[in-house]
Parts: sequence; structure tokens; C-alpha cells
Amino acid sequence: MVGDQESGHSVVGERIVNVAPGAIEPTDEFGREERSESGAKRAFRRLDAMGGGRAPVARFKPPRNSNEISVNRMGLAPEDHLAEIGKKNAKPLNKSFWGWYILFAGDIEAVGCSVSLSPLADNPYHADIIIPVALDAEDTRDTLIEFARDLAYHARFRPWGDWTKELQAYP
Amino acid sequence: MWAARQWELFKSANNVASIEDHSDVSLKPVSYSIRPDSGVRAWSSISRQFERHMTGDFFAKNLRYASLPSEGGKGNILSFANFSAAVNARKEAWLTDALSELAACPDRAVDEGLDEPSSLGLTKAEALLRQIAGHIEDQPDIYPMDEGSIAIDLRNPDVKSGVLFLIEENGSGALFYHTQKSKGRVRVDDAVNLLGEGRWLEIKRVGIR
Repeated sequence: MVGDQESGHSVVGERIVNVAPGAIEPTDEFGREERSESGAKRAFRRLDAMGGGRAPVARFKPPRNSNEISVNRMGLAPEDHLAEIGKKNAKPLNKSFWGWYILFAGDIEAVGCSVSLSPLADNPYHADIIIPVALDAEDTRDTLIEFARDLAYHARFRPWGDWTKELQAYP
Repeated sequence: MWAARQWELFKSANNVASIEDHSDVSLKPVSYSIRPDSGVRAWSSISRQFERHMTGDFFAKNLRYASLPSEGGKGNILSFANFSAAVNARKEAWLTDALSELAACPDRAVDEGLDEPSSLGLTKAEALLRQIAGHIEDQPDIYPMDEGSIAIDLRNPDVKSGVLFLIEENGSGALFYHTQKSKGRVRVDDAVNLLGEGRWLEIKRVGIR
């Protein structure tokens, strides 16, 4: 995949997708990729049974020594295109792509976090959720967990792929 | 009025003597009293079960118990003693599921690139789960978190509130609660003590049954 930041176009496979960063609106969606089979299936069963897939708090806890959570800005490209990016991201980790945990920009802001657009050469839709915490504070981990929990409460699972049909057929 | 029909079924199944303010059971809590000859025990705990979420879904979930035959086999009347047993059976059912999820945490941690929980953490988490199951009807989610910790996640998704228990690798624990109006956290040296000092109140406050 080749990203062309200057022209505002991204090339994935044979397709060219328009990228127009613009301002972030409260209704803009950001997706956190799910690469865990067990996590995805559990979230989907919740989605199927209760009409609202729960996101585990762990999925919004930043890596050690970081206060940033990697997401993709949805809505600027078709979902199958974003899913291709998800699959490419999962492959080096020997994982699969299962879907996204979706958050609205307004919800991210409401819990006290912000979004920074951070396009990458191979992913022009990349962004980071920034958690406002000092990394050298005594209670940094607890504060990060609190923000992760608040983000998880607002997130909804959006599965991707045919695997959901299999689960529906054999619950 | 599906919910109203279910309410009528519930009344007859449970020998309910009087009801106040049940004009719209799909939206409001209902106060009620039970005839003294219907095997009532633990009235206060039973009433707590009924004071929230008097919705169609609530009835759908609980009428399964109401349709159980009584121990004496007399028609379909279910005494509240039986109902209480049915609620306990439900708690035990989720405990079985939750313990399976706990047992899967080490594999799941590896799958998700997290540190594996310690056997001490797993033991403490199991003890805490058994305590919670004695009081809570809603099933928590159990999953691995960072630094070898285990999460026991109780939520009230209707209002985006909840209580998150964290059992650390060294056996210590933390409780994070979040209601619509407040949030807070507590850390203890032994995760088994997380529910001490009236912390059940935090769980009740966020609307978890």
C-alpha cells in the first residue's frame, strides 16, 4: 500500500480513496481495531444478545509509557477499505482482523480526551486518542485505567467479516 | 401492552395480594405486597430485585422462573421462596460461566499480547468472584488486563456506569467505580478485601443488581 499525503489520496490495492482530513465533528467515528479472536467473539455475542457489544477496558488502555491509543478515522473511506488496513496491521503480529470498537469524537471529548489526526504513510486515516495524563505521575496507571474504562463504556463493537454468520448459525 | 400482560401473569403466578402504582409497569418501579401464606422470606431482598428495570425484558427474563412449578406441584403457583431459589440458581449459573472465563484468562492474555496473570492473582480473583456471586445477579465480564492483572467488569450499560475490579499479579486489588455523578477508586493489599467497608454501596449506586 502506498500513501500519497501531498495529493490527499491513498492507494490501497487497485483503489484510490479520497482523503479529506478537515475538522473533526462530534459525530465523526473512530475505530479501534480488534485483533483478538476471543475478544471479538465475546463482544459479538454481547452485541447479538443485548443489542450493544461491550468493549473491554483493556482494549483502550494505552501501551506502557504511553498515553496514546491508536485508532482509524472511519467515514472517510468505505469500510472494506479500512478493513484491508486492519488486516495489514494484524498480519505482522500473526493475528487476524475482526472488527472495530467504535467511538464518536463527541464521546471521546466528553470523557476528557482528545483526538489527534496522525496519518501514516500506509494509513492516511490513522489518528490517536490522547489521554490527558502525566506519564511520570505516581498514579498514572490508575488514571489511564479510569480513562480507558470511560472510553470503553462509550464504545460499540462493529464486527467485520463472515465469521459472525458462523456464530449466528451455531450460537 | 405486552409488559402489562406479563405483569398480570406474574401477579397470578406469585399470589400477589396488592399492588400500588402499576399503571405503566414498562416505565415505573412497582410497589407491591405479598400474601403472608405464600412462602415469603427475605422480603427486602426480593423487593430489591423488583424495584428496578420493570421492563418487558425484565419480565421475559424472570417469568422463566415464575413459570417453574412449585415444590408441592400445585399448579403453576410459585412461592417467593422458590423465586428466591431461582434467583440464586441464576447467580450460580453466571458464576460457572465467570469461572470458565477466569480459567481462560492466561490463554487469552497470550492471545492479546498481555502478561499472563499469576496463579496468586487467579486464586484471589476466584475468591472475589464467589463473594460477588453471593450478592449480584448481573453477570460480570472477566478478562485479562495489563501487567498480569485480571478485570472483573460489572456494568450498567443503560447509563454508562459500572464498577471495575482489578486483581493484580501480586494479589493486591483495586476497585474503580463510575456513576453518572461521581467516580472514584480504592486500592487494597489483598484483593479479597475489595468488598469490605461497605463497598457494596458503590455497586448498588451504579444500578447493578
